[in-house]
Amino acid sequence: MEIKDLTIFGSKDKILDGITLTFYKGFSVFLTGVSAAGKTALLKEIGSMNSPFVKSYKSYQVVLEDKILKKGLVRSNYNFEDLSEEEMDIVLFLNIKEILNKKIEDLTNKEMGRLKLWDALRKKPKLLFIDQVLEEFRVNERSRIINYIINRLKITICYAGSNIEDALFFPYMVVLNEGIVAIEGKTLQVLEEEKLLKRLGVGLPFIVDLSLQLKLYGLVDKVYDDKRKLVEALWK
Amino acid sequence: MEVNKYINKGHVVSFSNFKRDDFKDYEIITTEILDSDTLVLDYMESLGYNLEKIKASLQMVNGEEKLLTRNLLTLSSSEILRVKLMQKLMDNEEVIILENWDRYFMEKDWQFFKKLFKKLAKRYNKAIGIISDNVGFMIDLVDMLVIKKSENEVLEFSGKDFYNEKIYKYLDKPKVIDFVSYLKKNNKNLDYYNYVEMKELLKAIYRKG
Repeated sequence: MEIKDLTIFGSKDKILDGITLTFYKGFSVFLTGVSAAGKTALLKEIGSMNSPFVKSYKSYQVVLEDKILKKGLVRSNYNFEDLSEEEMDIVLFLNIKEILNKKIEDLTNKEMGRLKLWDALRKKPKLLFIDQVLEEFRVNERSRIINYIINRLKITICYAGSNIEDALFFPYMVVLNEGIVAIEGKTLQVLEEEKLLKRLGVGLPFIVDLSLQLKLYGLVDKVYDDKRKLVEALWK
Repeated sequence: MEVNKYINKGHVVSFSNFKRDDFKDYEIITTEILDSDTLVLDYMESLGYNLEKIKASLQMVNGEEKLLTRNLLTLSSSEILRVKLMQKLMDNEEVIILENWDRYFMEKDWQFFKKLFKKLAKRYNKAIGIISDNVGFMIDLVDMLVIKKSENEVLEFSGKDFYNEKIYKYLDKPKVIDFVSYLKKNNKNLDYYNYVEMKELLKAIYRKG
């Protein structure tokens, strides 16, 4: 997918200003930025499915946190008959069977997140945009779901989140600030731009931050994203 | 589930694994959209707040002036939270309950809001409740952590007890605590202090180095 010069106006100023991004097959992306940077606005524009700024070469879906689903029983609103093997695998993985007989309006945030993911994944997209829906889950479960989508279903993800620790699940990272792309690149390379990220208010994953400080003191010679490797290097 | 006994003036308490229904006696600050096609300033004035009060509360929540000229329907989740908190402050509410506040703000804003919530509790004697599963946000903020174990059972922990492993059966461990616990488990010889801040941990590692 290519996004070119995407600009959206609010009532007085621009919410997004000239955003240009390319999403490549197999390169999942962590999209982040401080509050009101434009993450959700970007995903909503992509999710409109007819944006003049977006050119997609493959099918895609967008899972929005604030998307309101129709009321009623889960079972009545979604077709669970004659599922293919792959669709059944997704149903089982996301524990959708547990909520089949619940009313959508009674679902917890986590259950709603699972249902929204199911709704998107059953359409077999090649590219999936997720807006903060996974932040209800504990980190192990988040990691499991992301791994499943990327490695089992072979779908490229763009995940919009504000938990900077989640950046380490993705090979590529984009940081938005006040509606523009402030920095993008391979995740570890972006995370080494400590001064810029802290100025943007984004922060760093703990291990990366710690190893950057330790590197400054000369106690390690590079930046680590894994605590075991960092401890091994420190105690060598 | 009875939460009233934990909501006390002068204290900040976190509630984890709770649902909104558990707080039905309270008006929680959430990211639910303010459904009105109007500017923030006009909306607030229509509720009877004067400009001076609005600007003062905007400053209290570290909001930018341009927020006042935004249309309510186009606000981001974090902007909705700021606007709703402004209302609570202008109404001088004694109890403020916030849902998942940490999810919509990042590091820089976290530090600001932690100071604000502590000030609201300790200086202005308000009861602050934070519904969140993010223990990292609660460090150096809450007086007590309350974790819902089941419909009829809760666990209570002091706001200084972040190294209590029982907490992490239900919630994710903050990375600093996870790292220090890993060092202890692997007998890496540091002063075995329960660090919760990176600065202190760095000093300890540097002393060792």
